[in-house]
Amino acid sequence: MNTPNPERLPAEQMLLEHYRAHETGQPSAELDAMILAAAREAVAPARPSLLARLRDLLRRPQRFALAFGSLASMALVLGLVLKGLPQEPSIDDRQVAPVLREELGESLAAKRKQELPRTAVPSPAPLNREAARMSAAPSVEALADQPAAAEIADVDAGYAPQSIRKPLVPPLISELDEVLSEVLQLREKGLDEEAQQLLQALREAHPQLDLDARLEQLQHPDGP
Amino acid sequence: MSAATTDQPENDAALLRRYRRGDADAFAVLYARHRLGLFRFLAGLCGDASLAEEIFQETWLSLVRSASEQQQASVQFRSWLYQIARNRLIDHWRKHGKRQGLQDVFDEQLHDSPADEPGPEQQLDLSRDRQRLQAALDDLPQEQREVFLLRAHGDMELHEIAELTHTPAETVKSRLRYALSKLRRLLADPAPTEEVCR
Repeated sequence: MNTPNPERLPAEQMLLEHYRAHETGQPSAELDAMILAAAREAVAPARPSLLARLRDLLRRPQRFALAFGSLASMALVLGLVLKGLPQEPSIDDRQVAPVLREELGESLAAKRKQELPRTAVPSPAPLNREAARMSAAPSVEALADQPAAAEIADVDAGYAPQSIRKPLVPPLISELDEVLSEVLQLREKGLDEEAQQLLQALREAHPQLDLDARLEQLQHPDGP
Repeated sequence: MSAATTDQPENDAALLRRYRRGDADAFAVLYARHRLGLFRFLAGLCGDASLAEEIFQETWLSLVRSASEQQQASVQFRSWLYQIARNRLIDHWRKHGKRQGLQDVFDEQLHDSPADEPGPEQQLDLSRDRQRLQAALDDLPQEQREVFLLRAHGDMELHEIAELTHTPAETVKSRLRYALSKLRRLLADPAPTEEVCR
């Protein structure tokens, strides 16, 4: 704002004030915006190079590097375990039934054989009739197999596990649970992005596992 | 907002330094402080709003692009800014072959009344019509108009105007006196339309 200069003549000051008061010209809003934008652009920091951005990415917060490092270590351990150690029989419900079927079938077949009536050596006359009857009857093996199959079907129906839809390698569940617990902790701290990235990495490493279901179990151990 | 006052040169220099060090907000403050005065100086001097915008834009962009931090401590930012604007306008006129200020001497002789201070009754009645105000300015010789506008919108002292225009201080004083005298005469006689509107 202009303040009256006491050294100036009143008439001069009055005329100056008059012109200032009645002059309404001003730059357009677009021109103002353009000049301010140019000024801002002139002092804006330069976009860092690709190498600098990569370096910055690698120096990101420790928690992310730690989670990723843990995941990488675990993936390495998993790979070694799966390749080097002898395969333990997996708890697979789809494999259980055939195994049981086979075993049960053998035992039941043996049992059936024992339970079948012992036929004495028939007299020649009745032997013909007995032979005819026996020829019409199914063979021992056939008799042994049929009930066993039926019984095994009952066994299958009664046995079918419902809890685990997908197999988990027992010795490695605790390690996975640890990482999944880490995911839950990240979520609790509000670090949703990091949690999601860790979970996504786990999914890619173990596509056959239902990690979401396991996460749910860990979060609600007593059930929903 | 009007032109900057004389007690802000140090603040202007500090703002400019901050801007050069990357503070865009400092530029925005400088711009807001001087934009109206500079624009009205240019508009009054050339009488063409679009040309005034063009020179106004060139002036500020020239400042933005310049790496200088106003090295001369004695030069105020405001004077420096108006100097850039004045030079840009003169360059434009030279490029387009416009005549400048040839009527100065003749006009002063014709309207020579250095001690012509109006009485109180004459000071009250000046036209407020924008077109008449601009027409009165246009009627001034170029150098007188420039001095008056630097005084009115740049709020500069005589020695600052002298330095900016590379003119002796006494010449600046004389030009201002004649400019005021003529403007007063031109604006003191309101048009019939203004009489009706009051």
